Amino acid sequence: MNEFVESRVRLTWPDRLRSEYDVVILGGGGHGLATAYYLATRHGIRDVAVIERGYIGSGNSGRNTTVIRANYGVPEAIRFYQRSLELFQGLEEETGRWIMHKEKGLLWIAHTEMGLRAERARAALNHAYGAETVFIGPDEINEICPQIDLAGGGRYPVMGASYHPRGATARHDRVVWALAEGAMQNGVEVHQNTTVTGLKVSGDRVTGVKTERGDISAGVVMMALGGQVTMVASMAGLRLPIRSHPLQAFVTNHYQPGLDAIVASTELLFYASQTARGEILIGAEIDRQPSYSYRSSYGFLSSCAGRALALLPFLADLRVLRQWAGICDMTPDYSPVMGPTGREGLLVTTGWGTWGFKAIPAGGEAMAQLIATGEMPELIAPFGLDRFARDLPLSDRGSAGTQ
Amino acid sequence: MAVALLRQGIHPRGGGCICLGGDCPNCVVEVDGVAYVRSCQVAARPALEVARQTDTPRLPDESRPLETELRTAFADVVVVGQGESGLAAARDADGTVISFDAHRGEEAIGLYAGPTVVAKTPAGMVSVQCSRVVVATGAAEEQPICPGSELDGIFTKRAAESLRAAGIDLGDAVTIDEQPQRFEGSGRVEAVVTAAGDRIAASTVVVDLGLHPRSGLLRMGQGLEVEVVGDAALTDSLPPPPTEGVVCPCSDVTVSDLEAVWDRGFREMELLKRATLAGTGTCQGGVCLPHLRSYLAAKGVSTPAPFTARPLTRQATIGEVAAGYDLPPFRRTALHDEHLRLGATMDRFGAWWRPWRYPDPEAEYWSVRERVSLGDVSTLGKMEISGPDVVALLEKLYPCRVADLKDGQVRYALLLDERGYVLDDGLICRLSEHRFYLTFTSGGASFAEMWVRDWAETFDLDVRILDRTMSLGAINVTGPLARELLRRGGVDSPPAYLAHVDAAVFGVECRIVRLSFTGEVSFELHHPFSDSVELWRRLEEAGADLGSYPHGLDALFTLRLEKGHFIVGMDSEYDSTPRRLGLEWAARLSKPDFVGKQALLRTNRLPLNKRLLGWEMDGPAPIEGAILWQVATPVGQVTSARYSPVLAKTVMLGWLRSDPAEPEGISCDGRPVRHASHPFYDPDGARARA
Amino acid sequence: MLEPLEATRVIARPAALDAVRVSPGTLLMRLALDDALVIGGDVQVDDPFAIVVPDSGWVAWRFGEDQLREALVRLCAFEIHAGLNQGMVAGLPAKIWIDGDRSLVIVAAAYAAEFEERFR
Repeated sequence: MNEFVESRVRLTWPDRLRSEYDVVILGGGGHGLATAYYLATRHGIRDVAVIERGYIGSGNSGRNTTVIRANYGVPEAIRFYQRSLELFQGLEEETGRWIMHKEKGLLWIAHTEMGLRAERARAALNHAYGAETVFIGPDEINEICPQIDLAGGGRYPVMGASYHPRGATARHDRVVWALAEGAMQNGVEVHQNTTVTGLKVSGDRVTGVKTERGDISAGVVMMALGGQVTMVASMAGLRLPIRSHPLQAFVTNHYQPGLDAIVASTELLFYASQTARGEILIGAEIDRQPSYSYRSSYGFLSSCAGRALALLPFLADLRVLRQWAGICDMTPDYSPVMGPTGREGLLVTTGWGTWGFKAIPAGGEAMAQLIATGEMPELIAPFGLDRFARDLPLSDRGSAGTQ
Repeated sequence: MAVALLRQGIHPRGGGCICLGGDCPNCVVEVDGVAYVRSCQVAARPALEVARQTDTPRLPDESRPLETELRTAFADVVVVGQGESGLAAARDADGTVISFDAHRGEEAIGLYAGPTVVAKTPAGMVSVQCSRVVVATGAAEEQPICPGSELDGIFTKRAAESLRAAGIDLGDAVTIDEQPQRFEGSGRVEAVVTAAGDRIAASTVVVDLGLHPRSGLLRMGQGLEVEVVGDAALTDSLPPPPTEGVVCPCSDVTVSDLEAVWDRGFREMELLKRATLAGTGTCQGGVCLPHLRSYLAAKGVSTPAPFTARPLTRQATIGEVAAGYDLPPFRRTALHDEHLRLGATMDRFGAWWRPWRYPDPEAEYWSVRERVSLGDVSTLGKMEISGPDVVALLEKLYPCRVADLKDGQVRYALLLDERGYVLDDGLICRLSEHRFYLTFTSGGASFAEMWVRDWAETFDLDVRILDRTMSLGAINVTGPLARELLRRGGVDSPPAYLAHVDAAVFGVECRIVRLSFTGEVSFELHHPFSDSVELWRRLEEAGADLGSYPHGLDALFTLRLEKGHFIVGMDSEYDSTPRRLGLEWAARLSKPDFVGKQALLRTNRLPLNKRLLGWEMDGPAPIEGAILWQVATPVGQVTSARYSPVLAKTVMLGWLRSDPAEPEGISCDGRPVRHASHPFYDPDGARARA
Repeated sequence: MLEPLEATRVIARPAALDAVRVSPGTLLMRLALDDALVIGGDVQVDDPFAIVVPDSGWVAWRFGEDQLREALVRLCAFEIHAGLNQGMVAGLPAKIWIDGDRSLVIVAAAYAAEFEERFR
């Protein structure tokens, strides 16, 4: 037995799909399950079904690069992700499950005067809105992560960085399972291998969903469908400002701990960290071409490896184990969308681009509150779908860690 | 290498069934500092340093230089595997064929869209684009799953044949053809207990348990032109369900681990895999996948599918896969070496190297304000555009008027996107009735051509477009003595403010564009790339007694800030409308139409949620990005902040994220700041027009 | 080895460019339907709105075809054919002209230093 065999979580599956629930959540990923978890544990709403096409966590929740951080570039996002970061810090204690949460500190490296300017500004804004980020110079970077080549391979000199000491990672699957178990223990039903075929609509109101296993009536339907949301939304005649792009990553064999920090460079377009198991996990920018394809490309692997080596040359002799892709739902402003859809009875949490994992607890908590109270929580009020019509976008491309 | 080690009586890893087929993790060693190398897939060579791999190797401390190369090849057919069926497929294929033979050390690591096959070979990495792939990878031999499978002295049938063929004596080897109950022994196998319960003493056991197709590449190629031949096409029959022992030797997962998570609800192949890590190690399921499927089938899960096959099928290092990748190139203006000669510190702005500072920053600044200075602005986006519909197109593209420009006139303009957000800014120069010269910012240059072409096509307008960014240099001659310097270059009638002329300067044909970003008289000399050095040197020589000194970007940022000019992307944000920037005048809403007009008509009626304003304060400048506070509440952020030598105070641009009539009680960096109208310097523009 | 290329750039109606004939010894590279790079000679094009300008923003490296093809196999990821090829060579946008002894590679002059470094 290896030390990472899941040894505590117990998942309980319902025998049958009923024809009516108070709340139906589409998508058994992190956001859907977190919403169910908080509905059941915080609001006592337990007549909830989570409908999952594959297995829980089979979408982006099981494909992301597991970074947790709050060093965003607009005030609304800083507050939101800081809340999520704090919920993550308490999640092991709350659920009694080991999600392999570990604070590592995140270095966001600048290679030019313009980069320095951006990271200084990030640190100042983060500090003002409650996230801990400081600007540091090359000496401190070297102390935090001695493996970084400060010369940047001669092309990308390390001139400074914003350092986010509370930056952390957690095991993505474990987060999904801990939340699923907590929800299940409180009566939530999670139905795997259940494909949604349509939405039940009555006038302007969504009254339930149609699935391959039968129709379900629901007081509220919430879409938490990474990578598929535009297709399901269209079943209600709803067009979302989302384009789905693949995002790729790769991982090496496992090694003893040694890369302690999370290292990111916007200009080199990669981020790297070491997993609890010891693998080095490296991700990068989204594919430019929108697509629903999960196929990996060698061009990505090769270029991402080359860019990572410019900053972390010690990685050269590590053997690559596996590469994969996830599908990112990108909004025009690189911020998520949470809240009403304009169709009564239908809510959405989407636009999770490359930043969905880190938002799981806060996103779930806020959506649960919205469902329970019928009112947009202040924390996510700026993230509503109506922000585009109101010309109040939350532009944060520079914080996506991607382009 | 594995054979060489076994010949010496050394089990590469210390124990575990040896297959010599590259399918299991039981022969991994560290070769020349690289861990996780399957010794059966590497030829032994003199001077290779081989070390037994501890379970978890250390991260390397440093790296060797990258030497691997990538060759790109093209073929009609790629055949992976050169067994009988692979050879036959290669022989029978039409067109050009490229084959990879694992026995020659050519390992296909992945199958990608195209289809493209990437292989690691002794000569380096090879990527082949082809029309069709034949997967002839054969089949892997089933591994024994039972207690004692980690002992030394267990070989698959093919491994035993290879060893015997290599002259290695396997002694009293016994062969079994069913999954045994267990192996016994300590370190080395001493006996095997068969499925029927017979205990057979032996120091070597050969297992002949059946074959499983090596289907990784095939599964990876779903949806591509891929065909499978030979043993790789075998129907995979499931082994008996495992009952005890290690199922996944890479991650050390036992049958009881599977039981434990199964009992707690992990009942999908993927959940079982993720909850135990079975199948996620070096061999990527090569050993365990058939047994996991069999395990689930025995639990009543109907035909459990194999988990998703993902590259890499065989491993390569990060250094190896990086072969052939070149980092994005950096651009140098024609004057790069001149800046170095002058002692400049170069910095990169996007793709370009640009002078950040010269050795005397004071002189950079004061030469502009009081004398004359040269600046390299070759990185500006530059475009020539002509055609019968050129005016119609530019009227659509720009929110300002274009048709009324006279030949020789220049106009500053914003460029908006469909949402009315500022994309870029620059100049419109009219050359003649149907010809214009446009400039864009250095950052905007990369998308300008695409933007203009897209709209020309959208509106079906007849124009000719030439991006000249990379083929023209540009030098900004700026300062109160700029006119004198041009006169010395032979220009007796320089253009008036916001005009341009074509004229020779020191014999170099230039388009001289007069404007002012620095706040002083400025002439931009746009000229052929190949004449840049000559022009710069002549200007430098002729300006020496005028007190000329070049200025870099750092100084330019101070000069332009004093003049109150915003910089796209530095001061503006993604959602900066002209109104938010305080540049309503730049969008003429009375025009019939322009890109962004409809959005502005709508959003101009909405409440204004933030504004870019000018600010000033005493003392040194805070960082650019400093927060604007109203008592203890953050209300905005500074985007540009410089101490102005000529004004003897700090001037700033910064966003106020609310709309109080008159922002009061604002502080920054612990000091009070005052809202101030900008330009801060020469507000009526007398100096620029002089 | 790299030499500045004195060329003429012609942007014109596609049909007008189709009709252009150049004298022997002049090289016309049709970069796009509306775009040609002319090396070593004059060009007349029948389009009153054409943009015809001297273009010194390029550098070229002259080769024999065999030598060039051999070098490109490890530097470029597309198949080279006779005549004009355009694509990335060693990560740089380049134009490759294949014509026996008159083969050449052209890159923007701003990339000359990078090109020399990468194209050894």
